[in-house]
Amino acid sequence: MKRIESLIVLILFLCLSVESYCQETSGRYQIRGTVLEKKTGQSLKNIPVKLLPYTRVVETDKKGRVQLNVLGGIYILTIDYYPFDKIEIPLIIKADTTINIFLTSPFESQYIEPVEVLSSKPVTDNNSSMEHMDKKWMERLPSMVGEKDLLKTLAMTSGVTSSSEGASDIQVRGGTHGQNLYLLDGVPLYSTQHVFGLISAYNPSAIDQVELYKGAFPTRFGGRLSSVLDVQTVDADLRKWKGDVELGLLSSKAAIHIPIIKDKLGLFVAGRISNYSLLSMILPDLLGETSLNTYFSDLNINLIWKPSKKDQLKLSYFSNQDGWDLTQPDNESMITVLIENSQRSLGLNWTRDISEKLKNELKFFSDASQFELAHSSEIKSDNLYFSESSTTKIASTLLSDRFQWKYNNQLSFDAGGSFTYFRLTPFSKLQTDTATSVLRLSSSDGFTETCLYSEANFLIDKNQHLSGGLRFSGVFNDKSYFIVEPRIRYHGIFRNGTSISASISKMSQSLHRVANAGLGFPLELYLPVSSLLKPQEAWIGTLGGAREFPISEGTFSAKVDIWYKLMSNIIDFKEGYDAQTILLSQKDFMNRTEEFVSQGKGKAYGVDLSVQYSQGRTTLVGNYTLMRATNQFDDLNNGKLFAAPTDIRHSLSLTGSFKLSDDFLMTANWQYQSGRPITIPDYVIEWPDPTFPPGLNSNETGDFQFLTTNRANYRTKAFHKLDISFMKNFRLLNRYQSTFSFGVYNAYNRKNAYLYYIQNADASTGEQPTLRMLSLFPTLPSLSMTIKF
Amino acid sequence: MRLKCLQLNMFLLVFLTSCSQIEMIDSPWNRSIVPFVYSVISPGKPVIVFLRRSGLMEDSGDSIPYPDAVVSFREADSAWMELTRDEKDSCFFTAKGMTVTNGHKYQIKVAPGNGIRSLTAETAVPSEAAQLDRISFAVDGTSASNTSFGEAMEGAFEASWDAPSGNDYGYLLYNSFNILDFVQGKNECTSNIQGLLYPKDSLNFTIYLATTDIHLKKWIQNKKIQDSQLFDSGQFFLDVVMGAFGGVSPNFSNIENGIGLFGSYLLEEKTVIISDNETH
Repeated sequence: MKRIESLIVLILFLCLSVESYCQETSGRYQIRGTVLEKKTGQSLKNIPVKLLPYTRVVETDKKGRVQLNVLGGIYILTIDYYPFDKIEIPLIIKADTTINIFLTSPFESQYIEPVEVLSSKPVTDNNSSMEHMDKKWMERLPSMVGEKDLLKTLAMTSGVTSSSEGASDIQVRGGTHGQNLYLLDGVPLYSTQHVFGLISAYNPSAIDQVELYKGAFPTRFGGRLSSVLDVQTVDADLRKWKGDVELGLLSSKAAIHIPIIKDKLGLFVAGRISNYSLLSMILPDLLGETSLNTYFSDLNINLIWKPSKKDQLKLSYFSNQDGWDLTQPDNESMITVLIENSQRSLGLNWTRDISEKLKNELKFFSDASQFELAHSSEIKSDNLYFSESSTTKIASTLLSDRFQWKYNNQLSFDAGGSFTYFRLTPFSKLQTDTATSVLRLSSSDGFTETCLYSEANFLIDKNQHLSGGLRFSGVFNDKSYFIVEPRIRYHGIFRNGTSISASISKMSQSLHRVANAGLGFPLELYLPVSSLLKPQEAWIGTLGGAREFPISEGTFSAKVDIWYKLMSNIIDFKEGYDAQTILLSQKDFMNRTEEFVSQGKGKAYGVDLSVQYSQGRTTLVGNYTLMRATNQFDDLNNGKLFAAPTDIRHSLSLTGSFKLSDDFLMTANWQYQSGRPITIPDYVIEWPDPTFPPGLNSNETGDFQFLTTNRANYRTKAFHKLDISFMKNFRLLNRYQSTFSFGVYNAYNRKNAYLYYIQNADASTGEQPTLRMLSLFPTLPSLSMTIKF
Repeated sequence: MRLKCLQLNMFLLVFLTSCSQIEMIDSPWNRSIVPFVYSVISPGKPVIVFLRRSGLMEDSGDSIPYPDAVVSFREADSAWMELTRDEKDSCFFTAKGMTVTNGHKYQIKVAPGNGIRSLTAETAVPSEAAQLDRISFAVDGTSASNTSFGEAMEGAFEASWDAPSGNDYGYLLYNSFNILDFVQGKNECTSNIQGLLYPKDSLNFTIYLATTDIHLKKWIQNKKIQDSQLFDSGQFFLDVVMGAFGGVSPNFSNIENGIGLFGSYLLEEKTVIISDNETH
């Protein structure tokens, strides 16, 4: 029977091929298909779809959708994928076509979602300064203690590094962590770290699509110098209840879709909470009598309402809490130290298709973030208590409107504007003691930023895109600044499969972030633009190319991007100050900002290289960056040039993904980063008996004195590690699609630096001070299990 | 069964290797040895210059690294005057008969000998000392023992002063027992010290306010940071996170062709008389 069907299809195909030939020049049409399981109606993702006579295979997306762009003609759509029955559908394409394809399986209830090797869009599809990835990328990469993490995944891509091992931040092309715009559904995240940076505040269960712009910035993005990370969360499913639960070593996660009114109103909730204090487990030798408690949680809620076919409203709520407290006995007293980070945001997004050619997006959000550093001392026997809490806060409110207008197939426009109010309290202090006396001190400032932007997108020729536009920013505080930011970018794909990308962008940043550049723990402060602090500005140029080469039965692709960045008014602490000294003591900091921070120039340039080879069940990915970043401040380092903290000369990531069977995947990743510059003393001097200050009856008989004459005078140890993970898909209780992941982080137990510090010494005994390195993340096993329902 | 045991052992092996590590790094600051000069001058005080070298003296095997050194001192644009070594084995050199005046610039020159390039430095003595215009001290009756000077009493201390405008001076407030406060970059300064200690039987104590030049200011700042940065491993985690300075220490050295400090200051002092919770 099947043979007869095939014969009929073949005859039909041959008979109509002449007509197809004639029609090929008549125009291009879209075939939109959705692949569904016939019995359950469930959409099937990653199903390979072939459209004969073309040989290229396209996979369905996570919603089972596939989209093909073809010339008018006759085709046969084929799906041959175990455990489903093979299906061949003849198609006569004379117009845009939408079809539903139902697959049947003799083992329907036993269908196990196959594991997938790493794969991405063809490298030629996007501008070479942009990274696009989805949730699957993270799911398939090795994790730290079972936690898949977006920022750590991004740090494996070219041009992106992290500030230290375990840090959940990214440094893009010589820019700092504070020069990245981290967005979650369009709302900025000010703190991206959980538990000393072990994982980021982006809950992987809530992530849908991720775009990282390292250059070639669209005009709708602004406010940061170096990159834009645009993360879109999962939309609520308006048709059926579904969800997943994940149990890991470090945290537990759950996500659920709740359709409230079919096709109209739905809710998506994703939450994550820490299981226990991991650090207490891995730091027992260092803690001694000290007790350490770490905790974190985050919550993403999306409410989707589609009042009409043309309108969609999305209400998003995000909350994130992260902290640790440490209690330690000290003689008769008990000392407690607490560090806590939190952020809350609420956003409303209304998108409306005004017409087929005009789309509007109105957005509002309000968010607040704070970092608290507190310590207390209690002597229970004497009933004495003292506590001091220093807090730095930032809050912002935005209203924006965006119009996307498609004038014709060759020309479209993107224009809009926004108004943002920032309220910053870099310093706030609360002091209490037994006598119930309370001392409150704070220093706050607010400013507004208004911007207008417009961009035209031209399709010059087939696959030749040119975009150009302007972004105009006005920043208003005790002094006003007006900045015009021209942006132009080109991306073209040529007949031989080569793509070329080029861009020039000007960026500005009115919200400053200043972070510790020396030894110890990396703390940070946000500061507003003012008459004392100018906005940061940067010119960024990129030139890149990409190409795919069929090799044997596989595909090899390569992408290269050269970039150059010139920055002005970048910010750093002056010598003698850090975030902690300001947090703990400088109550009138805001009026004397120029005494503590300095502004200067920065330059970064480099080349990013990405290669990928895919063949059947194997994918190999390599990313390499060679770069240099330098800073120059008139009042730092005697005005001399010095290496920027982000000057990580070489970074390399090699990833292999191997499908061992249809439901078993192994992934290995090796990462390397050359040492980063830090500042340590250049000299240790055995100081003479103190002659200053006179009149002080000191017991000191001389000690060591450190002298630092040059910034960035030392490079940390190179960072490298190998992570291995395995992923097994199975049906739990023959019913629930489940994934069990296990692996090893830092497989060969490389002692990578988390931070550096100086160990004390006694001059009288001749013992010298030493530089020491704390390595926090040795070989760590990881386990996690995800159950979908 | 054996396979299961093997798997379990493998898991435990992986898990047990999980412990944080501290690694000592060779002291990178000992890579170069250079001459070190220290001198802080003030009107009414003798000019003393200290000459040694960076690094540990034990490493060199000799207590006087530059036995043939010649040290000279002068007011800017005046004739050099050679200082004499205090004793044969001393690293101290003293200028006899030299006076230091407010607002004047002074220079030192050190020729270490053995073909080492001469070191030079200059300091501008502050033109005007900050004056303590208000001091209050209220004894609160709290006592303390085991202080560096034995039995002590506590009180609340407040002092304020107007800093000379248009300068980059530092202000160090201290008494005979402790450094009380260090202020910089302000015109109007107020210092509040809760729990200031003084010897139990004292009837008075002296308060000093030193107005320092920019180099001495940076040195004090550097020392203050260093004192807070160094810690012992008994409170490791607390100290690394809370105590470690995360910025870059100020470069106080103003010695050309070497390292060290040539600074200057002016001193203001006041006596605080204690009488039954009263302030004087």
